Parts: sequence; C-alpha cells; structure tokens
Amino acid sequence: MTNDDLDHLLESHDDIVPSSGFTDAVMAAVRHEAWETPPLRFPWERATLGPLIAVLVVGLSVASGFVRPATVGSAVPGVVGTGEMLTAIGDAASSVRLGWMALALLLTLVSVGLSSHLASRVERHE
Amino acid sequence: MSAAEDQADVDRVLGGDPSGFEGLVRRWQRPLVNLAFRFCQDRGRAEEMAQEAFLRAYRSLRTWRKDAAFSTWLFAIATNVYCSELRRVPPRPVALDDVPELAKPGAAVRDDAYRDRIVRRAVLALPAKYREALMLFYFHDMDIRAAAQSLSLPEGTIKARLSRGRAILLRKLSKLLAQPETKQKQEQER
Repeated sequence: MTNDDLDHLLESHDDIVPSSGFTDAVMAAVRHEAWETPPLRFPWERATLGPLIAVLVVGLSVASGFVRPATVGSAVPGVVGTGEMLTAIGDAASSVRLGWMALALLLTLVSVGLSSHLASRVERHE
Repeated sequence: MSAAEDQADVDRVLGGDPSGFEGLVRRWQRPLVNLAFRFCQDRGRAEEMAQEAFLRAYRSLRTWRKDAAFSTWLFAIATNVYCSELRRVPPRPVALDDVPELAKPGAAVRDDAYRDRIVRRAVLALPAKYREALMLFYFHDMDIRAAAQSLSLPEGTIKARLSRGRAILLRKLSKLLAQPETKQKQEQER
C-alpha cells in the first residue's frame, strides 16, 4: 500500500446534506443572541476616576510642600532650597500618609488588572 | 460572486440587521456540516457543532479582517470549534490498536463500504494532532496551505503531521488493505 492508495481512500468521502431545519435552527440561535442584552461593560470611566482624583490630591499635597511663604534670608522669595524641598516632600508625604495611599492605589490597579485579565480569559474560552 | 455576497451579508449584519446572516448560513452550511461530520462521523452531532461554529462566527464577525476570504476565516473558526469539541468529548473512545478490524490483520476486506468504514475508524483513532491535519488536508482537496490556515498552524507543521499520520495509518492498514491484491496475485500464479 502506497501514499497514493491512502490518498485515494481518504479523498473519497460521503457528502451529507444538512437537515431541512438547520438554517432555521441557526438563525433562531442568532436572533436569540442578537436580542439578548449585551454583557455589562467594565466601567472604565468610573473605575479610573477614583485613582485619578487620589493622584491629583496627593500631587497637590506634595506640591504644596514645595512652596512656602517667603522666609527671611532666602535668595528667592517663596522658593526653598533642594534640601528643604526634600524635607518638605518627606513631611508632606508623612502628613498625608502617602505610603498607604500608594499601596492602596497599587492594590486597586492590581485588582482591576487581574479582574480584566480573568474576564478576557473567560471570553476567549466561550 | 460568493465573496461579494459574503461581504454584503457581513455588512448587513454589522449594520444591525441579524437576518443578513441567513445568506451566509445558506451558502456555507453544507461545507461546515460536512467538515464536522468528518470529525465526528455522527450526523446529529455534526449539525450541533456546525451550529456552534456559525454562532461563534456571528459573535466575532467584527474580527474578520477582509484581507482573507470569508470562507478561510469561517473554516478557521469552525475547525477551532470542532477540534475543541472533539478533544472535550472524543468521537469514539478507542485507541488505534483497539479498533476490532485492525486488531485482526487477517480479517478479509469484504467490500468498499466495509473498507471505507475501517479507514475512517482508523483515522478517528489517530492522535488528535495527526487526525486534525489529515482531515483538513483531505477536506480542502489536499491543499496544504488551506489546511494550515484552517488550523492556524505553519505549513511545515502540517506537512510533518501529515507525514507522521500517514505513516501510522499505512502501518496499521497496509496488511488489511493489501489482501485483495495478494489474493489476485495468487490467482494469477495459478
């Protein structure tokens, strides 16, 4: 027996005709699918609003530490030196508990990322 | 003509008219059901699998990039559905060596229908990757490129799987299917 013999055997195949109700069955399923409420979309606008506001608040809090009322002896009124600026950032960060906020933000991002990743995997398997 | 009709029907569906999908179903139901039948050798199950393939195509119609023919895209979806379904529930839970006709190499080949049945059972009993490559290759009239597109695999992989699948089939079927020729030779010698 050769490859050609095998080709000949495997080429020949019964041709079946779909049953008369096949098209109707498919279209009924398609219409059902079309009328079904689409799955809820992830609310990215709302989900990103919270972290954005948090970042804004933290940013403003930190920025408020850069600028202080003019002090006596300062070369440029209203502006502090680098050392003082770092101290101010540290102070501002500790006063608003920046570490905790950063951690909370990080956890939020991880949580959102993980849930959307899982959701996309479920969609792919369906 | 068919490509233009496919395009028009897809545009209708994407434009918000689901009934446009009916033309696609009517045009492609026969090849899709036949491909499914090759996979499972069960008419009822073939129609169920083909229906699922059409539904999957309907859901992801927007992802059809028109650089490929609609049929190529549809066959790739259908093949994916059929392979997943057959891996989930195999058509017949038998290994190649468990096919009764093949377990007895001396058994006579009674007629063409009987021989075809043995060949099909042997194909179904092949490991999935060889079975899928063989089925798609012969379904697409021995077009390696089309089989590769349907399975979303490189052509080289298809060639290798075809070669290995054929080798397994030849080994298992050769004794059985060579028997009539041997008989003829024996008769000629007399």
